[in-house]
Amino acid sequence: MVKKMKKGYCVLLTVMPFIAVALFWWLGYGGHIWFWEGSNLFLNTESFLDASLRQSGGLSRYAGTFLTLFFQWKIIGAIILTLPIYLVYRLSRFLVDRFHISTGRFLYCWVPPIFLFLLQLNHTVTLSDSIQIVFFYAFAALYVVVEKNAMRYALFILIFGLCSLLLTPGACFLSGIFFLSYELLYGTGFRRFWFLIGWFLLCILVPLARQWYLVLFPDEELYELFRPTLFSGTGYLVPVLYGWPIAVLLLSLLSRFRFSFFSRNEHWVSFVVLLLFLGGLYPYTVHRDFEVEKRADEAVCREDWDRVLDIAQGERYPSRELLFMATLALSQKGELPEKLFDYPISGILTLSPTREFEYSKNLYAGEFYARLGILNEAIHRYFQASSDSRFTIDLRTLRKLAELNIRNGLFLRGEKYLKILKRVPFQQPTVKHLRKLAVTERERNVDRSVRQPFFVGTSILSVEMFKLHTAQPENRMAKDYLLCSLLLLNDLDRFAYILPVFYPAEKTERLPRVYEEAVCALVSKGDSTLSKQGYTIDVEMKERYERFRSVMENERLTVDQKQEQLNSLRNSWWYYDRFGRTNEADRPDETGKIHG
Amino acid sequence: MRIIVAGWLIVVLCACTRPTNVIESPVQPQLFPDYRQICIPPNIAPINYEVMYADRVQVEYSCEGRSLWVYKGDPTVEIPLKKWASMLADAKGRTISVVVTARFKNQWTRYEPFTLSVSTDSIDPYIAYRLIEPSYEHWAQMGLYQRNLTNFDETPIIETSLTGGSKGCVNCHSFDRYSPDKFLFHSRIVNPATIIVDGEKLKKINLKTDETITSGVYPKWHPSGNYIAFSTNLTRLVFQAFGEDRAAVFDLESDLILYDYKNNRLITDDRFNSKQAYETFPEWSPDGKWLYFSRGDTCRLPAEYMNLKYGIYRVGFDAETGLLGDSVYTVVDERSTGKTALMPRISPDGRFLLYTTADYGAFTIWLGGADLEMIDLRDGTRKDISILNSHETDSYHAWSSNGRWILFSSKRLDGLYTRLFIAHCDSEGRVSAPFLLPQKDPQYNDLLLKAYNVPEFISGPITVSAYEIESAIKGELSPLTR
Repeated sequence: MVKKMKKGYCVLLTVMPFIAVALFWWLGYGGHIWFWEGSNLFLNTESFLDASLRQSGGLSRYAGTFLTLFFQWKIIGAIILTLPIYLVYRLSRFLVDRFHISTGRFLYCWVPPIFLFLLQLNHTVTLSDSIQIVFFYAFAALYVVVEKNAMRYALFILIFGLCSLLLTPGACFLSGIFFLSYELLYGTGFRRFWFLIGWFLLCILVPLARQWYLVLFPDEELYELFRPTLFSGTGYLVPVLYGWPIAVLLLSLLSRFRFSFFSRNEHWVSFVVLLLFLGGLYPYTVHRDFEVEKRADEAVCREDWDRVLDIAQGERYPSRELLFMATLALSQKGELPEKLFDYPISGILTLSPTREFEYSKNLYAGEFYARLGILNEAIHRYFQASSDSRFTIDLRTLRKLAELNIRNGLFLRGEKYLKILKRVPFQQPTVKHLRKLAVTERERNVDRSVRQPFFVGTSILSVEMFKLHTAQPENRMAKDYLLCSLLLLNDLDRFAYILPVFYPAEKTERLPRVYEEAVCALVSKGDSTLSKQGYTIDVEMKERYERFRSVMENERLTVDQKQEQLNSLRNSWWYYDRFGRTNEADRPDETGKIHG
Repeated sequence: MRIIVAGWLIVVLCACTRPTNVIESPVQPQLFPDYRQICIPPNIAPINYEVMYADRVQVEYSCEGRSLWVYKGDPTVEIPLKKWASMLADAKGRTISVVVTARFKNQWTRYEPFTLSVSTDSIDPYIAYRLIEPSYEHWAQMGLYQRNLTNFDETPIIETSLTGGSKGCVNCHSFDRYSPDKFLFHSRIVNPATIIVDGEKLKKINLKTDETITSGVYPKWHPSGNYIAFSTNLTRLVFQAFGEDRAAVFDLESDLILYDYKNNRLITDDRFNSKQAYETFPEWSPDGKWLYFSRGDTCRLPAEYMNLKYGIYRVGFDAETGLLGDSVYTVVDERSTGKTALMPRISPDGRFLLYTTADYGAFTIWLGGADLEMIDLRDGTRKDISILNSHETDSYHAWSSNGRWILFSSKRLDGLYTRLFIAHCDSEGRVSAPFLLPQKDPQYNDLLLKAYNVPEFISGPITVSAYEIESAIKGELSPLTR
């Protein structure tokens, strides 16, 4: 009975960390899972399989991209992400048990899965890479349990020399490290050591020979197939290459000093070690920003504007990208001119998309222009994002390009993307929905001919918004972005000139808060354009401004003291204007261009 | 007993695929790509296609009543290379009749036959082109490729993965009289230069000098092989907020220069290096005595982009001295047509001028309404080649070495990703319906997310390796002779 309970206790302790890992992924890193699903591509076609198999590690990539399709259900994604970690652990345990290793057992068992977990968190391994690592461990297990030398060498050559190139090329080098450490520490046959050294050399020489002499593998595809991943550029090897020898060193130290404590309490120790990693600062300090950004990104795609704002509010120091999404959310709710400064706006670039060749930034910019109604630019940005994706195009950009082209009346192009999307498992509902959208758009029969060119991306946001307003006078978002960008740029003359056009005083009961604050300040400073308009300024607003002014004019106070006393007015345009969170680089030069 | 059972099984299996209760249809089948009623070269790769919406098909090929081949199977018809070659050999100069019987939801339908005319005019065995994602500003990977037209082999000439990754660019390849051994192309952004391949010699030059506004852009070899005409273009790319054409490309300045390949020197002529006009897209007449080019009046860009129009002009050339003639003659007047005319290409017999036209603009690849037009240079009459055009961009074009085939790019399939089309042109300038470049898997056209640029015929395979070209790109520049 006692024995049974002990076994159950051990199983529980062993399984619990993995349940924790799965929960961690699901609850803590849902943004990551969502992001991975969108940045993945799997096509159910012969050519995709063929192209995958032609690459080194292609089979793993094929399997990985297929399994990533399931990430659209986050809990399944979390389980799938945890499985390789669990399998690596089980295989390590198998090896340890098989050779009756007691000293350093916990480290030997837990270091590989912890590494894998950290690498997953670090975005340096994809699911395909995780699969490769599992295969590597499986092969390693096979290799070390076979006692007959001839059989083991045959396995080594067959599995690592052929299969592993398809399945686990990235593991070729790792395999060397693994076996070398094993043979050095526990192995007996010295020839195995030389064999491994030979394998090492092969891994190094193949790319070198190709690099210098172009003799062995002049054919790119052939080289891809036989390339050990030492120089492949997949970043995940780097930390492992550094990390694993350290682990081996530790292991050898432990075997020297024989810490009996670890042997007796290995389950507890392993559990604590994993918890330290899980609960430690590492994941939440390094990747929290990315997770937060992706959660907001997901909310933008789902048009859950309140959630975007909640996420931004929850951050003490929100990134520029997060603020960009928050201002987009505000504009979608019609609250941009009311609540713009409720967020720590740090200049025009928190309002305006940047023109950078970076995957995520292009996605955000694409979403911005789609909401704004400039679909050509939205398509362009998504296209740029697709060029930066791992597969030239990914699911997210594919879906978006199909939708945007259809909405833009470019049905042939939309159909092109739908034909591809049709070949992606689980995407049939999306295809059906988009085909319906195409029918609706065709029926609308919108005239899309252009008589006057309107170029995007050649001037600053306010100029573009003005052009857009001219082309689409009903576009409220253009109006808000135009006025807010003028305020952020401190271009008050233009603000004073344009505001009455959008908000004639006789038709405006009360201006939105941010505009009212600006008008209040400008009128009190004697701005003739706005004074003539006769806008009604709320009494409370005037009092707030007077308080702000009195503090600012108090010469006995330092800047810090002023900021402290004005803490309740931090969300006003006056505060932004005076303490200027605008970077110099965000200000326009004399020609009106922004260089930031 | 076993034999009887096996026999029954075979009978049952055969019955499953053999058309029964066939309905006759008065229309031709829907195919992708549409290869109905086309004229094909006798040395082209199999024209594989998919019978749209069908579950199973039976396709019978015959020539003058003689059966050539019968295909039974899934709706993607892939013809074996050898069988196709023998079919073409049998039907050379004649017509292949194709009868498609297709099954839709257990109902077989036999369609009206369509024909494939097998020309006696061969096509050059290779073509070269660039493949790139049409993403305007940034791309993942691009390269120059050659394709064997007699089969489906496509091999890279050079890829940017070797030269500069996603930042590298290779473009504007041009061949000396269709030779795979003597050609040039540009490497841009990373290791920018013009690479000239001449047999085993590879040369890296940069034509940007104090006299030129940029390095060489659009090139054309003189028929003697001793000169190369280049345009120099200060090109800008802007993006349209609305309308079907997302990108607009124009030159703030563009001139013409000559590179004397033999003497490694640059020849400039002030008349073609002024700021009064934009000159671009040079082309030589086959006898080498005329230099054709596009020219447009300067205007305020990008504001007046929609008023930008080019015509086609020509000027005499003396290959002995390397000097351009005194007078410039108008070939296609943009003022009289009201349209822009670009990319002049003269047929090898010197008789026809094929060019691209659109309502406005300098770079027709990005103009939705761009079409091909052709005039007879003997009398200036316009030939009707509307059969080549579509409602989408039909632009970059090339003549085969015998002048009987036209290769051009078109966006007609989806409006964005250019694909290559081939059409026959007889000695009188009559063209037949164009057909899509055959692919082993017809679906490749749908799945490929790259566009074909600058298709050119070549007389054989390029043998210089990508690694040699890579070395040249990364190597030292050859200075020009002053």
